[in-house]
Amino acid sequence: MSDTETRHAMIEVERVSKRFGDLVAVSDVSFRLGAGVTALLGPNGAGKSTMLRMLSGLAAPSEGTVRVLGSNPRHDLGLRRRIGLVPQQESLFEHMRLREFVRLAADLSGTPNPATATEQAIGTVGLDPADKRRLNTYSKGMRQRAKLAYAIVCAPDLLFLDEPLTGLDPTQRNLMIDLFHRIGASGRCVLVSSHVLDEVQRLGTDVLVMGKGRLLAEGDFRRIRDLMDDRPSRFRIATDAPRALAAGLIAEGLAVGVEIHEPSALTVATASAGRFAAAIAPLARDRRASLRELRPLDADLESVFRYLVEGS
Amino acid sequence: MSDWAGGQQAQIFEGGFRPYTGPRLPPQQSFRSLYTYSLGRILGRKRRFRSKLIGLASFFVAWIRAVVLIFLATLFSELGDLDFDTVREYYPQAGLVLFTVLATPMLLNTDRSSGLLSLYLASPLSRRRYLNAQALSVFTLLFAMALVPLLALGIVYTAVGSGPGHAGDFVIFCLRSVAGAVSLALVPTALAVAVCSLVRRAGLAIVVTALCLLIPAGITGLLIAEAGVAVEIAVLDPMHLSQSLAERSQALPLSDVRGTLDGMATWLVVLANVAWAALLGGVAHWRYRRLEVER
Repeated sequence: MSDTETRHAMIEVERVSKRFGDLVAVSDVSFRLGAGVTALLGPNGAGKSTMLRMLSGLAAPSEGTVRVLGSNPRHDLGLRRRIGLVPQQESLFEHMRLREFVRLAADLSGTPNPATATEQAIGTVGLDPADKRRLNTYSKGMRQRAKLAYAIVCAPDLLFLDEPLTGLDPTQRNLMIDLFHRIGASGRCVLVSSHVLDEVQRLGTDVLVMGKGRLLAEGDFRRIRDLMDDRPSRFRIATDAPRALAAGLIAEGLAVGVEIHEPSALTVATASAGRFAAAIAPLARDRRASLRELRPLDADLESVFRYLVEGS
Repeated sequence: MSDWAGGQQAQIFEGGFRPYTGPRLPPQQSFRSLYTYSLGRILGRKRRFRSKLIGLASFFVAWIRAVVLIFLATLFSELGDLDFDTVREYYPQAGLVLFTVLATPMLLNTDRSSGLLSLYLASPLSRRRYLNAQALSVFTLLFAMALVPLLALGIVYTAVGSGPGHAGDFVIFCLRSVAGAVSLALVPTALAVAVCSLVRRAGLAIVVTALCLLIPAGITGLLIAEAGVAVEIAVLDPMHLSQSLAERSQALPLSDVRGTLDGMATWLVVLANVAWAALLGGVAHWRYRRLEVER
C-alpha cells in the first residue's frame, strides 16, 4: 500500500473509464489521494486533463465512480464550492480585468466576503489587485497566476491544476511550486498535472503516472523505481579498484551486468537496488577498494517515467 | 514573548495562504452571480465601446420611435387628443430581433469556445442553472426592451391627457403591457438559446437564429397570403406568434392588428407560444445535459 493510500482519502477514483465516441481517453483507472501535493504526470494525450475534468465534475465517467470528499462532484453542487480548478487554456478571460475575473469566481463560489477574498487571492499569487489592465495584455506567466488566483479565491479544499507552470520563468515557477506546497501543507489536496519532468520532480515525490489513458503507477516515484524488477537499477561507482570490485559484485550475485571504465570507475546493473546498497560498502572493504562515489543513474523521475511510458 | 532561553521550537504563523473554514453561501448564489454578470456582459459593462454596440444598437432601434413619439407628444399635446392606440401597438420588433440574434450567441457560444464554460460548470452551477441564468439574462433585457417604451409612452400620453382616463384603466394598461412584453421576449429567448446550444460557433449561431426567425415568417406569410393555406399554419412562425400574442394582450381589435394571424384563435396562439417555449427550452436543456466540456 502506498503513502497516498494510507493518508485519509479525499479523492477516490474507482475503475473509471471515459470514452469520447470510439476514443478511450481514460481506461479503468483507480486511485486514492489525500492531503498534500501530488503530481499527475504523463505525456500529451495521456488522459490527464480528462481525469481532472472528471474530478472537478465537468465530465461524467463512462464507467466507474469518482468520489471527492465522499460525494460525486458531478452532482454535488455544494462540493464544487470546495474545489478550485486551474484549466489549461488561457483565452477564457481576455477581456476581463484581473480583479473582475477573480471576483467572478468569488461570487460564483459563494464566498461570504468576496471583495476581501479577491484581494487576498490576488496578493497570494503575487499580482497587483489594483492593476487596471485587461488580462489579454498579461504575459503568459501572469495569466497563469491570474488563473491560480481564480482557483484559490474560494479557499478550496481541493485544488486541481492543469499544466499550471507552463510559460512561467524560473523565479515564478519556484514561487508557484512553493505556494502549492504551502496549500498542500495546510491540509488541502493539490493535484498538479504536467508533462514536464523537471517541474514534477520539484513538486514532490508523490506522483500518478498516466499513459495512453491508463494509470501506470502511483506513489513515491523512488519506490515505484524499486518495484521495477524487470528493469535493473544502474549505479555508477568511482573507486581505485574497479576490476576487483566488479569481480566481487558478480561473485556475490549483486550485479547482473558490470561495465568497467578504466582506470577508476564502473557502472553496475543490479536487480535489487536495496540489497546492492546494503552490501556495497562491506564488499568494498573486503576487496580493499575505496569508494569515492556511488551514484544511482536511473533512480530519478525521468528514468521512472521513461520506463513506464515507453513500456506502456 | 519569545522564550529564547527555553529553546522553544520555531513556528511559522503565516505561510501566505490562509485556508478558509467559515460558512459559504448556498449554491443559489452562483445563479444570481452569473445572471448579474451576464446582464453586464451583454450590455458591455466595464468593456470597451465595441462591446457595448450590440446593446446600444438594439435599444436604439427598439426605442427610437418611442423617444420621437414622446418628444412630439410633449411638444404638440395642445393641438388635440393623441391616438393612444399608437402606444398600445408599440412593438419594437426590429430591435428585439437584432438583440435576440446577436446577444445570445455572444453569451453561450463565447463561453463554449473560450473555455469559460468549464470554469462556470466547475463552480456550484449545474448545467441547468447555468443555462437558466443565461437565458434569464437575455429574457430580462428583451423584456425591458419591449416594456419600457410602452410604459414611458403610456405615462407621457396620460400626462398630456391622451391616455387612459382612470387610474384603474392605467393599471390595466400596465398589466397588459407586462403580459405583452413577456410574450415578445419568451419565444425569441427560447429559440436563440436552443440554436446556440446546438451550434458551436457564434457566427453560425447568429445566422441560424436569424434564419429561424425570418424564414418561417416569410414562408408562412406567403402560404397564407398567396396559396390560401389556413392561417393555423402560422403556428410554425415563432416570431409572429409572439407578436400576435403581445397584440392580443393589449386587447386591440383584431381587425386592426397587423400581420397574418388575425384569423387564428387566441387559445391557439397562447398554446403555440407555450409549446414553442417548452420545446425550444427542452432542446437546449437536453443539449447541455449531454454537452462534453472539451476545454
